[in-house]
Amino acid sequence: MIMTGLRVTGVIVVGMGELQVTDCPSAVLTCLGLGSCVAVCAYEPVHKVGGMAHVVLPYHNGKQEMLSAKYADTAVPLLIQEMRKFGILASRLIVKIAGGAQMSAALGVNNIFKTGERNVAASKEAISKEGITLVAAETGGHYGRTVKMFIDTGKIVISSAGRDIKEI
Amino acid sequence: MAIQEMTLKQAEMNRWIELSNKGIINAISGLSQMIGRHVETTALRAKHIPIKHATDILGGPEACAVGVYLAVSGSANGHALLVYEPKTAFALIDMLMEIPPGSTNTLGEMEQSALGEMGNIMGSFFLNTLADITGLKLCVSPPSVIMDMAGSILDAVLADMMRDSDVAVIMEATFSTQDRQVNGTFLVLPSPDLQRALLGNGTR
Repeated sequence: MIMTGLRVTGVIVVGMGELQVTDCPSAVLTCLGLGSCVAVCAYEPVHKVGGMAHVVLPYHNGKQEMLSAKYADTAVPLLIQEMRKFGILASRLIVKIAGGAQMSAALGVNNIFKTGERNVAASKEAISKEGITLVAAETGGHYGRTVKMFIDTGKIVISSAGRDIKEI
Repeated sequence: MAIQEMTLKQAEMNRWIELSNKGIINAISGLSQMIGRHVETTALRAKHIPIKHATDILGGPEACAVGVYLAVSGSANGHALLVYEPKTAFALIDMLMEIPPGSTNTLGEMEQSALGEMGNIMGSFFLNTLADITGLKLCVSPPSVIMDMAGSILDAVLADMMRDSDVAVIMEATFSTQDRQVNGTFLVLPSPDLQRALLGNGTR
């Protein structure tokens, strides 16, 4: 599901496999409780447009679906495409990612799926394919994250259970 | 919550629900044997819901939850995840360790080990039931216990389910001890591979 241009003030939750773009200065885009999923955050500071994609899986693999925010390789181009509708310049985009944890490796069980790691790698690959430099990444580890982007400043704040709040 | 599409044919879905119900009832009887008290299954619900809304059952993606994860191997690879609200997990630990109700309020090494053992028993009882009915060989890994935001615990398992579809059948079981000291809910989230294997071998 893609929703753009929301004039909603306050918190806009980006659900699994969703993408949201807004230029509302008082809005906060957020991905809640990320484990293996990755939040791809893009911000254009001149127009003050922010976009966030909640990536679930690494590759689209030619599935018969329209361009989807569910997969890293399709979410990144889609995010940029949706942000262009706000008149942004892709070269000005500040792109950061967060998430991609390995939840069950925490206790020595080898996670055969390694979804978190693969999501991070696929997101980075898709970002560099667009000719964009990744500015910051807060990924991996064995804990969940909630990611918030403040549209007026472009600030990204990450919170986790029982850990200090981080800003990237 | 709207049903958006049907992923399993009605007959397959009924079959899956029937299999899981038997598995859950056995898992709860395993729990009952382990804690030495009668535990009653008060409700069994099959929910056909959009996968991205699965965490709503646990109070949303940011709600704190306790998960016991078991990797499944053998005739099919997959995973089983038991998810409890922290208060349910703590109450179960109190019973298992025979300490007064309300004693446990964090997850230390001891508590994790107790919960893991419980998950192991419940997971094994659940899978053994399914293996007996279908004739598949299913083994479970040692349990892994995690306490974190519900969204983050479910993510990797939900992601695996989302490979195939955006909706899934999630089994929700509510159980209770006779003295109502523990009133809990746990979820069964089958991996697509495991579900396919179980339904493909559905002879009874």
